[in-house]
Amino acid sequence: MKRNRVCLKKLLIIPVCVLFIFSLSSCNATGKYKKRDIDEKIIVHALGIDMTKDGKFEVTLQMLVQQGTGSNTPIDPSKANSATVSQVAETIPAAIEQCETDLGKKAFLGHSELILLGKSVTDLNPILDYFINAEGISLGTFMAYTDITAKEILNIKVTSGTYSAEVLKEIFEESQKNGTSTECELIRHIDNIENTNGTTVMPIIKKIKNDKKSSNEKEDSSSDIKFGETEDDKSKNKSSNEKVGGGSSGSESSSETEGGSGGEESGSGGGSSEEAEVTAFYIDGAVIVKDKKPKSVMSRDEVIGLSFLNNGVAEQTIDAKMGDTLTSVSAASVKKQTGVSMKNDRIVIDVNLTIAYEFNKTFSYKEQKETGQKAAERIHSLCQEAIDKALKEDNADIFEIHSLLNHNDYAVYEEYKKNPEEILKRVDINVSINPQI
Amino acid sequence: MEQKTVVKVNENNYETALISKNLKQALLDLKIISGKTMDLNIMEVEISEHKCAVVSIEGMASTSAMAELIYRPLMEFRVKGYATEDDVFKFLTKQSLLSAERKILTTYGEVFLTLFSGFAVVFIDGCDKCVAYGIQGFDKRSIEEPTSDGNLNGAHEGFIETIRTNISLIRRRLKTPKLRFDMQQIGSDSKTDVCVAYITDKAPQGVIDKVKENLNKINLDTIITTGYVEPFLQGKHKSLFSNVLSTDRPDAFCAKLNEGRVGILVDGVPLALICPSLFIENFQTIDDYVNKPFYTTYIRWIKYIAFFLAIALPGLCVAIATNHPEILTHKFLMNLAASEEVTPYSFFFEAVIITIMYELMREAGIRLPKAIGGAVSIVGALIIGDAAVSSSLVSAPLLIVIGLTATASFVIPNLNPQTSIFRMLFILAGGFAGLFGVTLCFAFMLINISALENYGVPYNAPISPFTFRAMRDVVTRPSFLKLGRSKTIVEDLNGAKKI
Amino acid sequence: MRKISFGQMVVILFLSRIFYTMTFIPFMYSDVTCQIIGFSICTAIECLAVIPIIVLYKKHPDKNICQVIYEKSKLLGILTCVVFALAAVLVINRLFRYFGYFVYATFPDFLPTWLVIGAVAAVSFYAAFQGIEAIARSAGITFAFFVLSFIIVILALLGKMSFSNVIYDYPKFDDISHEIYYEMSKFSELLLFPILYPYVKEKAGKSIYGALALKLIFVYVITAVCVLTLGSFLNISKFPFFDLGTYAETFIIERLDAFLLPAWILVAFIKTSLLLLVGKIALSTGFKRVKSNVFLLVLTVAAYAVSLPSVLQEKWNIGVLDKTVITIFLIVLGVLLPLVFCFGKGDENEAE
Repeated sequence: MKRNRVCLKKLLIIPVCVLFIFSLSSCNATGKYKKRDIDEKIIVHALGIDMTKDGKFEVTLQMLVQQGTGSNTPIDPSKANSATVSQVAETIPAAIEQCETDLGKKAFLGHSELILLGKSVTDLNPILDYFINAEGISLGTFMAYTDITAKEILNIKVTSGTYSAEVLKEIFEESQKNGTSTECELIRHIDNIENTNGTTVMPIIKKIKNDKKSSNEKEDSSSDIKFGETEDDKSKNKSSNEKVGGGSSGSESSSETEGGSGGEESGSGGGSSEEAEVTAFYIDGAVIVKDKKPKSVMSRDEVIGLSFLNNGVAEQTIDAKMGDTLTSVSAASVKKQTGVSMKNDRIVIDVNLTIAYEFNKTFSYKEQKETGQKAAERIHSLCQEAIDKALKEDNADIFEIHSLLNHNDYAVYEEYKKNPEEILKRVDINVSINPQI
Repeated sequence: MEQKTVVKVNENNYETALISKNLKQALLDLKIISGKTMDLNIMEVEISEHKCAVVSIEGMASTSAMAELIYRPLMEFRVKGYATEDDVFKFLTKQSLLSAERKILTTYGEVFLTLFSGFAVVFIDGCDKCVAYGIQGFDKRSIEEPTSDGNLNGAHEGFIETIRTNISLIRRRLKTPKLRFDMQQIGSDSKTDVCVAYITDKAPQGVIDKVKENLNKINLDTIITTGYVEPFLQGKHKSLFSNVLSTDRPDAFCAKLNEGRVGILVDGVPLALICPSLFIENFQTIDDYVNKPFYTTYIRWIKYIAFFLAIALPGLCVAIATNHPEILTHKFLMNLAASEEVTPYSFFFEAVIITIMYELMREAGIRLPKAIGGAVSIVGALIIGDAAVSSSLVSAPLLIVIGLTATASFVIPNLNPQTSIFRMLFILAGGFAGLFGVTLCFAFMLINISALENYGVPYNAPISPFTFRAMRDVVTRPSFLKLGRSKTIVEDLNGAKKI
Repeated sequence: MRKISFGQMVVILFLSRIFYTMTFIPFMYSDVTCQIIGFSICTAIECLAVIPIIVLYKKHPDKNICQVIYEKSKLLGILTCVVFALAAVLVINRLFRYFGYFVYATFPDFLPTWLVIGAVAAVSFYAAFQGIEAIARSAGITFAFFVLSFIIVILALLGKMSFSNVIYDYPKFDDISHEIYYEMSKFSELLLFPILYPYVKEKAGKSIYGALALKLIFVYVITAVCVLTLGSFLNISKFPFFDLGTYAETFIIERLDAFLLPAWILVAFIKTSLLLLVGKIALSTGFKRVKSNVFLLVLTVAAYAVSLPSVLQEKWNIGVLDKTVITIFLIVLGVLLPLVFCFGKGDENEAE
């Protein structure tokens, strides 16, 4: 009897195991659950989103295409190991799906480091909706604007780094340390938008033109850039385009896959001659987004001021003019103290920044003190510029005012939640700098 | 009048058959029982004009010792007049010291047991008893360095096949009368000597009795290796791991006896078994107690990492590369993707093939004669290594992973069977079901280990159930100054039960 | 009978509860302030709710609640045993749906959810088959792994935490009461403890309080980290603790979300195996003639079968009716029954 029970147990176990292995194997082999090896996926480094004239999305994926010198060295870091593919569709997922179809592989977004929004992007709603729920997207992915099309930026083959998104990310990280860029992680944008009913600030990335006439000349201030205009709008204003340096007019481009190791672009438009001249990118200014739409542009100095106010500066070099000489002072450590008070129906936010300086010259104590004072004045003016631009002009809460109100005066915060515009109009920010030598 | 039925002695009923008083009959019985085997030596001799015979097995007893210790004294024995069987018996048992071991035998079973153990047996005409002298002279291996558990600074003596030599190796190291050896014969045909060793005031009596009870339950006819004995000691729970430790080092064996364990020696096998044992003891070697604690602690953690690498690294790599590439850093992922681009098979399939090839190479390395063993490693390195990568059959990162895994598995030789099995299971689980499969496989392994308990001690103590005091010998190697003050024996571990 | 230690009992009860913290959708109904207040009040209620079980334990330290009731009334005992088993199946169903949703939402093309649930059920069956000791020892190692991954995530996120991300709202009574009700429905320790306390060697009564205290600490820490790091993203995140892993990065591991996945799976497996074991013990108390492992197999198949339709149709949400039914079961089995039977004469070897 016992032997029969043991036999029965074995008879049951074997078919169950076989069934289980068969289910696993069939799931792995076919359909939605087919296991794709790593080389059967598009490893996306960066996504670029532009909008066409008729409101469609042009999605550009920058992906890994390795340039190696054999099986022992599959990646040659001296060459650009990336290529791009672009598609236009009604929605972002549809465009990505078309890219996948073109390449015959599934897009893997888990390693994407950058989401670049082209100048033509007018509404962040569909973009944020997609990326909040997108499979695999990291919350730490950087999201930024560019003054031209995202496609152009992503098409650039850089000579340093293994792929251009890597270079872009490093530029952002370095810029954040010295305050020339604001925090631009996806989660921070979502957090800001949730708290302020649609307001955030995104840095602008531009390309450096290595012109024969003037080497490494950067673009002019971004005040000439109009965000929300498409390429057709831009082509009506030729002088603006020349200043901005917009490249290809690929608003209605079909599938284009950019590859190869050289600096040549095979897209339509005047990309090829510029392509060879470009050597790097830089951050210049930021876009103030309000109600999830780009509203205005902050200059580089204003962004630095904003970074000081939001305690986002790790180390920044400030130029202090002492008579006829210009001295550089390094603001090495910034400590921020804030206080909120009500004065005559105005909400006064007192910001006290204690900044420790490092001097790159040998100064006497008196000279240090004077230089520090000048630097403090400079920082104060930068902060004031940022306040004037964002708060006074655009009535945008990019100074974490909602957080300060929530922590210090909940009653006012309740009013803020109901009517943020009115509350922001009543806000004054007083900045005082306390230099520490 | 009762008629006694005389049952003829044969090979089936000899064990309890009494020895015949008639010498000729006794010798005839020996020949019948042994089937006139050619190695049965019978020397008929007259001791003080009394008929006797000296029986031995060819190659088992030392001929020189027999000549010097048995024949010469016997030939020199003289009594006044005619010696009776009692005179001869008295001389052999009380008035002479012909060897260190002497037994009085009454049955043919005892005679054959002693003959096959290397004794010489003296039969006396007219006496229903015979006397056996231990003059073993069979060829045995000299004491050599242990092969499986090498070390740098400890003793270089290892167990050999002869149980009595092994007992002497242990006795030399533990000179206490509390060290006991209980011998018994196991195996209905082989009658293999199996010895249970313990220190009386350290080993729990319940464990000693349980071990002996388990040994008595062995119903096999032959015992050739410790593998025949182990399953009976392990208990009912079917686990891939074994809670009976084996060692070929007398110093390690003595250390375990000192911790209250019970040891088992099997004649013919240069290995000793120790029970109960803990999972964590697979990572401890005798060298740990030679070096300084800080270095030993560092090496112990290297071993823990090695175990993890040996079991889980290929499976995790397959799982991550196939299903969770977001875990890898950018450059690592790019290199991996670029390497995989040119190989014809998937990462999972490559991992399976390379693992199987490694197992083939390892097995071949054990079985091959030493002369051509070197050629195997060269061929293996060439085929698997350079040529496979150069021809893009296999990606270089995978080869590094498998190489690292192979090296790591040699760090803990005791767990080699388990690491081989689980490594393959993890690769299959990782390939089919990613980290989910690897985790469930790990959960299965965890339950398998956690359920293992024998002689009242949980196998994964002192980690779980957690015993703080005992953990210091897991996380670190405490110095002997601390160990000398207080020691944790298995009975004191949390979760241990008295049996 | 006494097989597991006080510490092991605390760990298994804690892991059973922490599963929900890892997979539940916390902020769909209210913000973090109401969550924390509701959770804290609920924990205080739970501390009071376990008093009848502890009194019962002190009177009958060697018998579980089913055995106590069975001895007093055979019919009622059998009914209690069946209800315990049914409650265990319902809680497992909820667990499978939550876990299935987690896998479906975070790794959609990974494996079919029915296969994922089936594999968890199979391994949990094996664990329950091995008994309480094997589960308790595995839980100890799982707890260590969980704490280690938790610490690694927090360390990786230290530089990303900021007080300015904390935005709180004044709590609302409706939201708090909803949270209390929701928390109470997750208190499945009321099922586990009355059956498992005879297995604890010492201080069984204190072990439930230990688990509640540990739960309180962990949930507070997890919530604090989530709020400090994710800010208002919590309001739209489905799995905040998992999103912490998505956001955390180290120099070796790019993202810690898939690194957290094994901790979640192990916790789910421990909880499932505990519930199966409890159901098995309950049924074998009531029906002594049938082998207990038969009950185990039946319970596993039943729990899987009950959750299969929802999983196949991708209906992940536990409806109000389900939550209410489970809460009623928990209160009846874990509070009312012990309250009724804790009066009366105890055993000779009463617990101290």
